[in-house]
Amino acid sequence: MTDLENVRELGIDIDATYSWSVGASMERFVRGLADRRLLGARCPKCSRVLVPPRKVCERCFVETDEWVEVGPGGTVVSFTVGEVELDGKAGGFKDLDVPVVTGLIKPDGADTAFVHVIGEADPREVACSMRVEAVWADEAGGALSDLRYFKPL
Amino acid sequence: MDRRVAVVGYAQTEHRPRIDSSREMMVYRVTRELLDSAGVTKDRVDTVVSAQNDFLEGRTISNMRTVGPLAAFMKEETKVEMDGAYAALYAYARVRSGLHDVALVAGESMASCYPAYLPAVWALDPTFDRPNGFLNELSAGALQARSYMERYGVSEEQVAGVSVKNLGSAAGNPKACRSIPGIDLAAVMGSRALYSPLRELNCYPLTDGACALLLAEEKTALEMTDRPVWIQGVGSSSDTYYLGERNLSGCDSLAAAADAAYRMAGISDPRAEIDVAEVHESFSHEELIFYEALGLCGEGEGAGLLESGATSPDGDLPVNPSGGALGANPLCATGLIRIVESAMQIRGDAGDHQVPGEVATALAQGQNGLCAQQNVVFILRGQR
Ligand SMILES: [Zn+2]
Repeated sequence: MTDLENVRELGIDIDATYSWSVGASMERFVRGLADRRLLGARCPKCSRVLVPPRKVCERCFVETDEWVEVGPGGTVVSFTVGEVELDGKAGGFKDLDVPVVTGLIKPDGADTAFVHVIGEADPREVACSMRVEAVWADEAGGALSDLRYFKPL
Repeated sequence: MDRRVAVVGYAQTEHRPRIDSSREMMVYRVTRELLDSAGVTKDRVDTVVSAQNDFLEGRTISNMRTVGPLAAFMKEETKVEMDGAYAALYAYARVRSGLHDVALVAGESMASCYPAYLPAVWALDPTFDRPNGFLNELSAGALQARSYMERYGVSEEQVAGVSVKNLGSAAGNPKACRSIPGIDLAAVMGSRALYSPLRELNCYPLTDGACALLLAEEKTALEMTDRPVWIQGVGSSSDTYYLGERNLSGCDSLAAAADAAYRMAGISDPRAEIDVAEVHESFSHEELIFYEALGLCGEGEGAGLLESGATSPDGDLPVNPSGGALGANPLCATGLIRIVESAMQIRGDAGDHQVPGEVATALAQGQNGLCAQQNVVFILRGQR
């Protein structure tokens, strides 16, 4: 309470732990990563294959009902070379020593793209429409990190 | 139901990297200025709709503490956790419906208080995008920029032209947070590289600031002012959250919002009928995408429209003569500022950034979410 004496600003930490329900679709997707498989969900109405899988197709407003294996190859839809990264809890940016390439990647057989890292690539060589392939962790643990990145083919 | 609704007053704080004030006093001062400049006592206000965000404020139900500063004591009051143009949209609906005659709208935030860029990270899908940690609002904006530039063969220099126009225009706007008189292409292209193709001067500045607006139904509006600015059309639309499912080289939800607003306002040729536009470009490339989504030019013709000079302050369709969001971007206020700046242009109140010639019809846009997921369009008119 004495902290409020002659003080103009207070630093306030908000530290709270939430428990998120991952949902059946994402749970199955992550389990698939442990088997080095990329799984999508097909909409029974518009036939789009959504990756990561979603339980409901927003466009048709119906539940997806079929699992489809996609990839491991894919195409770069868009990309960015990050020269900075977020500076953790402080916010703002700090410079990176080695730039990181992030891409929107559309796995073969999917109708959607998702954001992931493009590794083993010279940032100057990365381009839209470039072909890439999933690179997996040596020891899969049933986590998102089992899919390490995509590398150019 | 044909109840017309008008803007009868507005106020903005100066937008700055750091306003030396408590949040409550910042909100009080902008509300006080709004009521004083409109010559209206707080008792005339029936309802208050604010735009604030709990994450930005660092407390839940953030409007609990702004009841007083917003002149909302013992009134019907609520908030949206979105851009201020949404607060204006809902306030408009309340007045248009006949539920209330006079609505006060406000939007505010202080970037000097919250951890910069983290709010958008905490908006990400918590089961994939957030734990992967690859995405934030700037990297997402960069993916959007690349999609657009790749599809239509637009260069970084062409995109930088938006920053040159807007940061130069901001020099005429004393409220702007970032203005660079005499800025040239080299300054933009030489600014700090963040996420390619985005550089620092392609991106909005972290801003403290607040904006407020007073709306009234026709009879009350005409009592309150002899210079009402009529809301002739509104439209709003939301696209999917998922970037990989969206058309990032365009802005489908903005096109849908504009269609609805144009239909309501009876606009068939926006390029010819709109005299000035204030758009909510968080990044320079977004302004080009928005030209196209608003039907001010054809697909892929945004850079050409910019280069023709039409959207410069002295062009025949000035866009963002205030400097736009590249000049000042207090989150939750930015879209509301677009509405206020449009009304100022119609009234001839914009001072050093007033565009030449009469402004009869103006367009204002607000947006929300990564890569402009959600959009609102207002059409304003000066004459009766
Ligand atoms: Zn579907």
